[in-house]
Amino acid sequence: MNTAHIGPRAYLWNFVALITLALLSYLMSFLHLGGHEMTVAMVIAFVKALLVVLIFMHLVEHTASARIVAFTAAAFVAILLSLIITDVANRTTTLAPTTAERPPNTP
Amino acid sequence: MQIEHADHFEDFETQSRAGRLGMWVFLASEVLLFSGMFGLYTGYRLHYPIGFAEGVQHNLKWDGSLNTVILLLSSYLIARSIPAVQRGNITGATWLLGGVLFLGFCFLGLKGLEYGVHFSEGIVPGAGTDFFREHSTLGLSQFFTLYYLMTGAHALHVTVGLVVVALLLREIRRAESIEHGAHRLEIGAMYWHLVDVIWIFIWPLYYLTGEHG
Repeated sequence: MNTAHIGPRAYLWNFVALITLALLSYLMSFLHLGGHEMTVAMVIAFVKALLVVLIFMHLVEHTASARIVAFTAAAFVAILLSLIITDVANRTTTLAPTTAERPPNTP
Repeated sequence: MQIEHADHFEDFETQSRAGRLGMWVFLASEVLLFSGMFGLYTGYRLHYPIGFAEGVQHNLKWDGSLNTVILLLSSYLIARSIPAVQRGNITGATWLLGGVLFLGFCFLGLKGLEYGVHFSEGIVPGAGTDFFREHSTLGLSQFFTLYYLMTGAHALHVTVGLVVVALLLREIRRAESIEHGAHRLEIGAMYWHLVDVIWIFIWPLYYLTGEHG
């Protein structure tokens, strides 16, 4: 079976790495990083998620088709979130003209 | 030795690969569900940065952080249970899966405790309580409505995961062979790991990032 390559030792090191990163996230929340706080927190979260997916879920050993499915799902989430960020960042409020301001003969 | 497999597969290894691929496709559809909620969070957070930062400060950081450690530890235990079954150590695997169940219930218990504290303060989904009249920052009610939606959906997944783990406990004893038991456990464990991955993102968004840029 594919799962024979990643063993208990790798799991233990992965767990230690995950706890260390979680501790880092926790400590960062006290550092008052202002606008960078969210970026740093999301980068650490992404690395942790990657460790879980690659080692605990064995994606690193699975077939190319499984990797394509996982990568596509992650890429689509990234596209969705970047489109939302772009939308909200560029949103401006435009008020429709009132009846009195409209030029004549406009519906 | 030829391991028993379904007729439409060439051998057991091919069947296992197909099972794993099917599980990845299922998990991708779960990601789709949560990505909608994360998208909603992103839009509202950008729109109401102050209200969302205030909401994070109202949440119980120790509770969310302890739950993070609990889920990471449970992910480690369930991962360890697979090689245990592959070696035929069913007793060891049973203890490891029992640990996963215990930690899963601890997670839900802490989540229930947190909801209880919030409800006693008047922090409920929507608004309309004294808490939201006293704390009228724009976006605070949206923050907590999303908080209940996302953590509630996640807690529902933890509950389903617990049922899956309980079924796997029975399955590793009743499986036709060690290979079958290990394979089913691997597939079930992938679901539990996904629940962990989702929490890895929920934790900083709702408990750690209490500042606005």
